[in-house]
Amino acid sequence: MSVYVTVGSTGFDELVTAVCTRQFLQSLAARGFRQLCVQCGSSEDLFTPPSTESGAFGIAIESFDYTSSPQRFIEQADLVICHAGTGSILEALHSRKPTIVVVNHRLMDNHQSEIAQELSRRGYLVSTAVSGLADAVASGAYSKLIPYPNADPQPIGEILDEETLF
Amino acid sequence: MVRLLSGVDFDRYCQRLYIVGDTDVISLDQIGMLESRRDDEKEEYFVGRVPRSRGVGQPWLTTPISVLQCFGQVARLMYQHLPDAVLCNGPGNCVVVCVVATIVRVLGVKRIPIIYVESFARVNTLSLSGKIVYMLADRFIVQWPDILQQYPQAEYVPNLV
Repeated sequence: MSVYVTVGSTGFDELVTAVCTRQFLQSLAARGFRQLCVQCGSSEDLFTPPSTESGAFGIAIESFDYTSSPQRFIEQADLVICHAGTGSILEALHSRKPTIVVVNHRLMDNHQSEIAQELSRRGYLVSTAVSGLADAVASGAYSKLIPYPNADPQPIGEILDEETLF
Repeated sequence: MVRLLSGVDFDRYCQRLYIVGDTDVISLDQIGMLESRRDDEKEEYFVGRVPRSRGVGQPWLTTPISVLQCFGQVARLMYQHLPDAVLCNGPGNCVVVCVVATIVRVLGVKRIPIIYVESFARVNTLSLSGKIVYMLADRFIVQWPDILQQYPQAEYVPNLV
């Protein structure tokens, strides 16, 4: 089983640091994960995972800064851990992969936490702060989520038609 | 925006003008991909790149200057194309587009209906753009129900994206 971690188009220092910790890797290993792939963005310098296989609890780890095809990595993963950007959240939800969203409390004017909390309240994803990430993995709550409904943008076409019929 | 456009009948709206912020390369890519799937001689699309009305973290003091620059270019594009409707979704530039559409209407040139879709990220409150466009839009769509308490003229449409 594999995990894909993504910070999106900027960086997220605390998240990239957190996924290198023993506590996080141990939680992953305990849940049966053997592969970890991390998209680090501008935080790549902070990605310093344990160098030995035993230090990483037998998890094979790879990382890169950006990708033009995030969908490909999401498709390959059994669990997606992403920052709370709307684009990343929607990509993860529409892929029907179990999703843990990590809210960046350092961002001011934080509407990101609103959307993550609302979707979490409705049971579509697990929302956590960086400090709770390892526990969120360990609890296994991500495996009991509700599939997100398919997008239906048709009403926008109908509204546009109604308005242009004048 | 590209997700929303998949609900729009391109056979009916065969001329499409996209107004994109000049730093927004991702949207350019998405428009290119969306339009490359259409292969119809009767259809045309245009991309107008305009300066951002306000950059992220830009001081409020210099905002009026960038708004005016943006306004000039949007006004020129809108006058050239005189669209039958405006569909917009959130970023600051759409306020400028909606103001121009309203001016065109008030001047009696053409009624350009404004359809605004608030960002999916807005669960409880409107964005600054949303608060301004709420006063101008013909149809104001929100993607979460709680906003209706404060903005009763909005319409709640779930699962758009």
